[in-house]
Amino acid sequence: MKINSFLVYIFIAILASTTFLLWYGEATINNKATVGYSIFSFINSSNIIRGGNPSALTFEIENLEKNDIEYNVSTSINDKEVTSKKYLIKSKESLTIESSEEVLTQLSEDDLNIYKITIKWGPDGKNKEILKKQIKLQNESKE
Amino acid sequence: MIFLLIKFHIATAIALFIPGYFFVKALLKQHSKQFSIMEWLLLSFGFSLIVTDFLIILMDFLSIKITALSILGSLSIFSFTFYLLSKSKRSKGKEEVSVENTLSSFKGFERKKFALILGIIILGCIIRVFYISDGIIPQTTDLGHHTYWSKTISQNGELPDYGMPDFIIGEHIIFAVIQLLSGFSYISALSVSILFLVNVLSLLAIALCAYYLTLQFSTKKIASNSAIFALLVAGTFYATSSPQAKFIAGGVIGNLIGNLFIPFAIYLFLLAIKNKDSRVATLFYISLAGLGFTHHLSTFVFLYVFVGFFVIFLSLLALTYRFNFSKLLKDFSPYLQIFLTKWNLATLFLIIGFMIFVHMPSYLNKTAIDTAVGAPSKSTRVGLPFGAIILSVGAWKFFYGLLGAFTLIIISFKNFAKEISSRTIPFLVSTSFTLSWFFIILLMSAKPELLKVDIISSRIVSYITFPLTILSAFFVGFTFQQLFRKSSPMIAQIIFFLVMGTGMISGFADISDSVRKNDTSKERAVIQTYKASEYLNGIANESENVLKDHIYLEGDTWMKLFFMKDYTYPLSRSYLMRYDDSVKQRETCTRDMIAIPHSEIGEKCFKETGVSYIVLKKGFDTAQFDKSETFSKIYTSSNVVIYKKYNEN
Repeated sequence: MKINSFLVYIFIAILASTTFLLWYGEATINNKATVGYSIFSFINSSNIIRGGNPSALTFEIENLEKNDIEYNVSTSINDKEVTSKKYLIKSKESLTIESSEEVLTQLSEDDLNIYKITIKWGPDGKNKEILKKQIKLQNESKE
Repeated sequence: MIFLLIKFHIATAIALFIPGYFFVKALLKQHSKQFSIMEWLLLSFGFSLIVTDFLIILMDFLSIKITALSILGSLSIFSFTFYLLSKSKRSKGKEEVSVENTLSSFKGFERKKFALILGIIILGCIIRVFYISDGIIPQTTDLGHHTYWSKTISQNGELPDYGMPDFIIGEHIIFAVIQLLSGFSYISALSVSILFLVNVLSLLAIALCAYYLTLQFSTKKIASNSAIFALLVAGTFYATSSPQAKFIAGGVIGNLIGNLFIPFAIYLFLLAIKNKDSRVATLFYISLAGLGFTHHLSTFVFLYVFVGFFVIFLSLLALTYRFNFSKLLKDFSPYLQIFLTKWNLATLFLIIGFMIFVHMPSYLNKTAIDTAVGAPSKSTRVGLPFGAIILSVGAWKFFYGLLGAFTLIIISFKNFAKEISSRTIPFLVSTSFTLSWFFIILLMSAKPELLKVDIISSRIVSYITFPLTILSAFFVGFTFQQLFRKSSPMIAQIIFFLVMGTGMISGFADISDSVRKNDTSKERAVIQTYKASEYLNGIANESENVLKDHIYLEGDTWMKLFFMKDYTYPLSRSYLMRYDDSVKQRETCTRDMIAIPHSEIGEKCFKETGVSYIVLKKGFDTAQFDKSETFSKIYTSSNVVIYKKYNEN
């Protein structure tokens, strides 16, 4: 074996190793480890609904499961279920869900209390809490 | 992706191979021709690392913003300048003295055993890659802390002010440089790939060190065999143990680079002595500066080893010369002179000046030195029992390393009876260095109070693996050379395979112990921590603080890379035992805000720290927040939950 080929082979070994590590790292981060769960989140952390703007209750579901999933999502106000709706979200996609009219109507009946809004998800009748927020309703005119 | 990979390899070449190559070539003039390919690889890498570090420090000192363009410019100018210097020196050098045999000893050996060395290196690479790829998503605590500082450099274009002695600039510059040049994200395998390179090159350093150390107290054949055995033991048998693949995966940057620079500096020191070459002594000084700017513990260990070397060397020297000091001085002064030439003294002053006026390593202050030197202050610093040391380095390596040390001591004693010759001093230097490297670190690990060392013993013990590798390789090389010569080939072969077989079993058992389970659930958990961090970074205001749980969350140290607000942001609940410190009073708010959020103490802590968000692992200490009327659950995935404290405003 000549000296030059020794150098070439060493560089190939190092090059192949680092290339594999970097490629495998990217593949794991972007594919292998980004699968098998769902993420639920409010789009902001505000706990005040001002002037009927429902963004404090808007939430997002990100489906990172391998399959499309039908999410049966229900919303409760002070532990009393107000709405229940199914959303089909394709694999690796997300959906932003705004608060329904029913929830807002229910909230506007009394704007002095702090409401506990609970969003649940799961098979029919066995929904588990996924998100919750203490919400205060504040009309522009009252400020 | 392919474009990114190509950019990474080009960036690696620009920052980690080219500047050092031209630097050494220009400095050593035509002597540089005598280096073997293995030596060139190591010298190019080691000095490129040092040159890149020093150039970036200088750029920062001159208020030049650190960007991809400025780095590329400065490294190109440096490389081109030294390329021209190497060319000009070479043309003048034609008339200079012949240097045929000055540095050539490793070159001859190498030609015959290329395939074996190559095979070991390739096998070593494969083992490391398999081990590292098992946990490829960046998640370890140490690496998370270090990467924050590297990202600070990339983001701000200037070197950070750490404000603490725990970090040294040399640990972070190279990552920032490669990241800026390649464009790779820090949330990738970028850091471990660079550390992989450092570790593989440190194998070459250890093989070269083994060769030059053993060359002085044995034959050339034993020396070359020792180098190959050292490569085999460190490269494959114990590839995943503490200072190697485990440290790459764990991101123990300082130790890894330190474990490159220590054998690198020793190799240059031995080479300078062997060839009486003051230019190699210059390289030795520069390699020490590189070590000093990279890792405090490695520098500390090296200084102890060096002092130990002097004590052993001077004792042996006096005994060998039978206290005839006039002859001793006459023979010794030429060796001393190569380190004290005008050029080398100027280099030393330049390094000291650089430290004083340009950049002082953060650990060089009285408080940090006082913390490391003195009687052990904690139970973790009082030394390890021998059983723990053996377990840490591997039984086979320890046993044969110890035999190697005793063999070397016997050879040293035998040498007293010999006539003093031109080989005496190089012999004593190699013997003293080998013995000091092993015994001083052994003492620092087992009985630190004897050397006034106040550092965690389990950290020091990782430095003993390389001298043990050399000693065990020397013992195997030395013993079997004798055995194959004096006994029948069959018996020698059986014993050889028995010894190497047990070594393989011991080493590979270490590999099988170290192999991590391919657990994708943990990787998913880490990614969920990242995603939660991205989410929080998008919604948290400047004034809102975040508290995360270090006990249960996977990869939580990396959260700070998503915020880039401060090293201590987000706040972190640490392991509970850390809050009970008899020496130093610790804050307890980070613990109390999670354990007792509704108590008076908890409420006071929330007010004081401004924490609005709590990030926890789902199902771990979450019950009090799930039930709470004052916390909203604003984010959840299968592993991570984020709570927001109710805000009246």
